[in-house]
Order: sequence, then C-alpha cells, then structure tokens
Amino acid sequence: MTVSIPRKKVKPIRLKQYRFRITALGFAILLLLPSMDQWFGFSSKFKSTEKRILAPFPTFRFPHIMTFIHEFDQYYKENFGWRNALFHTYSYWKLVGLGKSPLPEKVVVGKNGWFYPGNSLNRVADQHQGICPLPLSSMKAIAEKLAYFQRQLAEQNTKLYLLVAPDSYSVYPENLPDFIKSTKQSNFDLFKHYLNQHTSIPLIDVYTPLIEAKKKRPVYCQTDTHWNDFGSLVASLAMVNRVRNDFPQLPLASLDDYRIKVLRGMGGDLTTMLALNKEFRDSVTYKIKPVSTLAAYQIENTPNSQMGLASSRFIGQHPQLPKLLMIGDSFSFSMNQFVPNYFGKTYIVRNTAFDLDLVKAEQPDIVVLEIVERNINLLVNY
Amino acid sequence: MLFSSAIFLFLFLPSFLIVYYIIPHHWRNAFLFTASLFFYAWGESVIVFVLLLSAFINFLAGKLIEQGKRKAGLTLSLVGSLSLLIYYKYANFLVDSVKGFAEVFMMPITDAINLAQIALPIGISFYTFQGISYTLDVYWGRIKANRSFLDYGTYIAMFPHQIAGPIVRYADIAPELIDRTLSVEKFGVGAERFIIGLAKKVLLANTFANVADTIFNAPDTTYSTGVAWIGIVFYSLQIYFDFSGYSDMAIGLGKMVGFDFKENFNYPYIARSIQDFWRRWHISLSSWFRDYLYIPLGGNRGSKLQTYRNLLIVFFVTGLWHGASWNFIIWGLYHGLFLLIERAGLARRLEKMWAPIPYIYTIVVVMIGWVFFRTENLPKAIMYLKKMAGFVPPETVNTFPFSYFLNIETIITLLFGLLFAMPVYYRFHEWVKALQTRFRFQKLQILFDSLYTVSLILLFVGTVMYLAADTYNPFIYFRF
Repeated sequence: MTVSIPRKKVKPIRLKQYRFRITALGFAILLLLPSMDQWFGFSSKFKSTEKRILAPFPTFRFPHIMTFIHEFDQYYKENFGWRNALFHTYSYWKLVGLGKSPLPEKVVVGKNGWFYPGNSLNRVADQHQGICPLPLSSMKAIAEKLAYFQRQLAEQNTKLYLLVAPDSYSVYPENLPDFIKSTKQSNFDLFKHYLNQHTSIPLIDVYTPLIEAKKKRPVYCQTDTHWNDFGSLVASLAMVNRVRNDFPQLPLASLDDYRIKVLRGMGGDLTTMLALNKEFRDSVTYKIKPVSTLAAYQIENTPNSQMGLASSRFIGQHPQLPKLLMIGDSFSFSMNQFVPNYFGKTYIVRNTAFDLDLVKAEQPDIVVLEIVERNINLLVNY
Repeated sequence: MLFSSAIFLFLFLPSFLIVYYIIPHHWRNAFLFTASLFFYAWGESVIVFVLLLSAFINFLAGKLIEQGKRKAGLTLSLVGSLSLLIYYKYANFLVDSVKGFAEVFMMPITDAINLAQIALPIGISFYTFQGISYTLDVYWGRIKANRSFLDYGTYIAMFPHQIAGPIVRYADIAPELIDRTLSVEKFGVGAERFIIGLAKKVLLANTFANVADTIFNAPDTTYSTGVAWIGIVFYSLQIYFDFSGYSDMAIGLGKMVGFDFKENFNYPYIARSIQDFWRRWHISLSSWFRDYLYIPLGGNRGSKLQTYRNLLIVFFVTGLWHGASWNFIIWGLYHGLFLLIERAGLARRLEKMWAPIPYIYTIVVVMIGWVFFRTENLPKAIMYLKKMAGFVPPETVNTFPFSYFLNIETIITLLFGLLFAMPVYYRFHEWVKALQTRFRFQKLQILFDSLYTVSLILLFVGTVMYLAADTYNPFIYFRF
C-alpha cells in the first residue's frame, strides 16, 4: 500500500489585493494631480496657443447662481491643471502617431509637411470641394455693391481695383490630402466670370504669377494660412504692374528691385493653433529688402483692435507719384514691404469694410480692395 | 456634470471622495444624498426638485402600501411618477403628434394647439422606473418599505447611476444602503472599472461618433452605399461603447462608494438572436420591462396571440422610453416584430443553422434598427436605408470617399472596438487568473499586475488627453 504524501499547501498569494491597491493609489494620485498643478504650476512651461483670453475665475453675484455655475464650468474647462501639456501631447500623438489633424475643423494636414486651414475659416475646405458654391444672388449683390463703390470713387477721379489673394488650396492643390478633391470650378472662378460679365471693375490677377513663381521658390507658407514674403512680393509686383497699365507714370515693378535672403523657416499660424509651432516649421523663410533707391518710409502705424493688425502709412521716394489707398485683410500685411515703394503716398488699412468716408478724406488716386479667396462671400457685407 | 468632464474628474470626484472616506460611517448616506443633489442641480438647477418630488411620491407610496393602503399607495406611485414623466418627456411629442394628425386631416384645431418647449430633466426615465420598481416590489411584498427618506433619497438620487443608469433596483442595494464596507481594494476595483468605462466612452465611442456623425449629417448625394454601411457600423459601435462605457463608470463609481450595481451589458453584439440580444443589451431595462410589464401583462402564460400582443406592447413602450419620437417607437416595434417572428419558429431554425448565420442575422437586424434610432425623422431613416440597400442613384458629389474615413486612427479604433465588443478582455483575465493559480511565480505575477496597472494609468492619462483636446479652441488671429 502506498501512502501519498500530502503536498505542501502553498500560501495563497493575495495578488488581487495587490493589483487593486496599486490601482487605487494610482487613480487617487491622478485625480489630485491637476489641482496640484493649478497650485504649484508644474506644467507652466506649456502655454496656451489659442490666441484668446481664457475664461477667468467668475465672481458670484447673488442671486445669479446659474450664471456663476456656467462661468465656473467654462473657467474650469479652460484652466484645469495640465491642460496645455495634455493638449500638446495629444496634438503630437495625433499628428505624428496617427497622421491626423488634432483639430480637423481648424487645420487640415496635407502631404509633404503642408498644412491648410480647416472649415472653421469660412468653410474653406468645403468651398474648395464645391460643397458650398457661391450663390448667384450673392454674386449679384457683391457686383452691385462694388459697382456702387466704383461709381462713388469715379466722382472724385479715383479708380477702384479688386485683388483676390488665392487660398493655399488653389496654389498648392498637389499637397492636399487625398480625401480633399478640388472642384473644377472654384467659387473664385464663378465670381470672376460673373464680375467680368456684369461690371467693369478691374480684377488684379495674382494667381497666374504665383503659379509661375512657385516653380522657382515656395510662395506660400507650409505651416501658415498666408503667402510667404516671396509670394507677397510676387503678388505685390503683379498688382503694381496691373495698376501701372492705367497709371503709366508709376515705375515698372521687377524682382530685380529686391535682394532676397533665404533663412530657416518658423512655425506658422496653423501649427501654432496645434501647439506644434516648434516641432513643425516652414522649410524656408525670406528676408527681402528693396534696393535703397526704391525703399519707401513708414510714417504712421495705427493699431487696429478689430483685426489685430495695424494700418500703416508710407511715403515713397517720389511723392508726386499717384497716391494709393489699399484696404485689405491679413494677406495685405506683408505687402507693406513692397507696394509702397512704387507710389507717391500709400495708406494700407486693415479693415473688413469699405469705408467711403475714409476714401473721401484720403482723396487717393487708386483704391485697391484686397480680400482672400475664401472670404469673397463676405464682400456682401462690405 | 458629465463623468467625462474635467470638472467632474478633477474637482467634484476627488473632493467628494476625500470627504466621503473621512466622515463617520453613519453620515455617509446624508453626504452622498446631498452631494448627489448638488451634482444634479449643477447642471439642472431647480429641476432637481422634480427628482425630489418623484422620490418623495414613491417614498410616500411605499409607506402607504405598508400601512395597508395598498391601492392608494400604488395609484399614487403610478399616477404621480408617470405624470411627471409624461409631462416632461412626452407632452411636446403628444401635442406635435396631435397637431400633425390635425394638419393631415385639415382639421381646424391646428392653431389652437400650442405648447411651449418643455426641457427634459436629465435621468427622469431612470429615476421614474427606479421609483416604480420600488413601490411595485413593496406592493407585491418582495421588499419592505424604507422608513427613512434620507436612505430612500440616497438610492434614487445617487450620482453614480443618476443620469445614465443602469436602472438599479432598491431590492438589489437595500442591504448596502444600511451597511456597506469601504476598502482600498474595492476602491481599486471601482477605479479600474471606471477607467475602462471612461476610455470606452472617450477613446472609442467618441471616435466612432465622429465618423458616424459626419456620414449621418451629410447630404445623401455626397457618399456611396459602402460609406452608408461604414456609417451604421460605426454608429452601432458608438452607441454600444458610449452606453456600456457609462454603465462601467457607474458601476465603478458605485464600488468606490461601497455599492455593487448589477451588470448592464453582456457583449450584446455576439448575440445569436434578437431575444438573446435583449438578454445582453441594457439588461437593467429589459429585465425591468420583463418583471414589471411583460409578466404583469400575462407574459407567455396565455395564448400565442396574447404573448405576441404582450411582446409588442413591451417593445412599443421600450421604444417610447428611449425617446419621444416616432423613430424610437418604430425602432421598438421593429425589435418586437423580430422577437415575435423568432417565437413563431425562427429561433428553433436559427439554432440548427450553420454557426455564423445566427450571428450575422442578429447583427444585421440590430444595425438596421439603429438607423431608426440615429436619424432625426422617418423620411431620413428611409432615405438612409435606401442608400444602404443601394436603391438610391450613385452620389453626384463624392465628397466622402472611403479614404476620408479609413485612416490609421479609425482602423485602429475599429479593431479595438471589434475586439472589445467580444469577450476577449474577459477571457484574457480568465486566462491570466488560471495561469497565476497554476504556476504561482509570485514575482512574475507581481510584475504582471504592476504592468497592468501602469497600462491602466496610461490609459487614463491618454483619455484625459483627449478630453483636454475637446476644450482647446485656438484662433488664427488674436481675439482679445
């Protein structure tokens, strides 16, 4: 008869307890970390890149309890500890790890290091896919409005021009992501056709020169919504030479008037929105200087609270030349360096409205209204 | 206040838990009740009184029943609770429906019927059903009425299950309302469950929602039949992970405060019939309807026709419970119809079929049903179904090609979604447990558990990262 030796009882390991204890501890610490960060500022090197004032701590005004609650909710949402650091990590993970835009409505991620504005900017992506074509009624209203401005200006011998700065979608469609298919006829094409048929307002074409110029150097920023300084120069020269057709006394504008220095690029407004402007930069940036015999002098700089970009006044080296008033958006800002060099006096105003009183007060010979392609429909409200 | 919001996670929850764990045991119900009312009032303001009124009606009804005034108590509960539910949830729908019929039949009363929009109190469907189950259980003698409004109010208002369920029955947590244990381990179990639920909601459901919303909101000329199927597959996963994620968070929070809520989902997308689906989907609701409506109606004890009638009534009400619109009613009746067909013989046939067929049948029926659930109205639902069936002419503007949706993120999320919609995670734990019991290499086990916990913590941080992104709203130009 064999007697089986009882196996030594192994003491049960209380592993479940171990796992749940460390989970409990870890979770409790994680819940407390954001409050600690708010007090001690562990993550203070991560700044918000939202370009807006975050909600402040609300003041309680009895009996408006719900107002306080809503304000506090908003305050906490925008100020909780580690928020900016968490967003930065999220943004990097989405873009580098998953190859997707962290904020698709704000920024569209293209190919070869290109970024494009998203639909939050006047549905620009939808516009370029033909999803929201410019209605005929809008084109009619815009044409009538511009014709009215043209008539008003003609009374004081001022000539009106329209300059539409192309979106990066139009100039660099080859770097758009595959899921964005450009429409054959853009809103600008529709508008140009309508304007040419129904009005005599001269439309300055900067698209063709930009397409030509991009064969030599990049003309738009890869990480920004705007053209770069070289693109701005090309557009400025095209503008001056078109105006010169009607004002032959203006000097001929040429690339030879400038010395172009290529520098390492910086992060633009699109990658700044993603909080990745340090990680994703343009391949180049330009430092462009006119020859000394051409350079105009800036004599006034007026901050504009509405758009955040200042209006500037210049005086050229030949003050007897025609006087220019340019009303434009942010695309016109970099033109400050080039356009005034060819006019007697230049006033470049950043505005989203056509101010007839200003035109009457300034008495310019030429008015150029500049607007970016995606905002053509906004001309209805000018 | 949503569970998936920073203010809940990093302000309300830690503050609540610190106080809850510090105060003496006998103060905990009072504190949980007060904190839950605060939690509710934070988003709903004075509507918190509707919750309190509903709770008070059923508390009183329970007392009346126990005092022998059984009919009066039951009537008070049903009339009181249901009138609040009907007024807040269905009054606008009823008026609009009557108006719609009047317009169709050109009756001159159309202008006379008007009702201002009534705001729906969050969670009213849940707390009403909890209240009714309590009084019915007291009425049927299954439980004794609670004598303390504080305890009863804690059960009804308790924030873990207050806004999105599950429907917790009084009988299930009555002992814990009186005496419950708190421990670090239980807190850890709850934390693990909460983190998983939060990740299901934020990482999976929200990603599926982005795709599904884009497709369902797009004009039908901008996508193809294939994309319409992508839309419904993603919506099916969205609704599952959204709802089951919320249930996981509720169960996890319940454990943190010492309660054990029952499971609400059991991998519904691996069901082999619609009947099986309803045993696995929103279990607390389907079992509520079974116990408090289907069985009282006679269940399957009568003739076949009576059983079918009972089923259709239950699923009509199930549809209506989910929302005040004809789409939900049709969704409910659609499910009822398939249950009826299964009872009539399809169930037996399905059992004998080649194994994959019942799964495919169930998932296709469920997905088609979700179209009614997701779309805003019937014409849209029908249009979407036509698109899925390929009965709509090809798209004129192919704005949303396949490539728009199929990127690394959606593919990874889809794979995880499909994986976690099946009991893979559960089996993994079973497997690890078996290994640990068999080999008992303590160091290895500690290493595994440590790695698992670190993964959970990383999952939580990753989830919060996505939450932070939702609050980030940058502009091109300064807006000061």
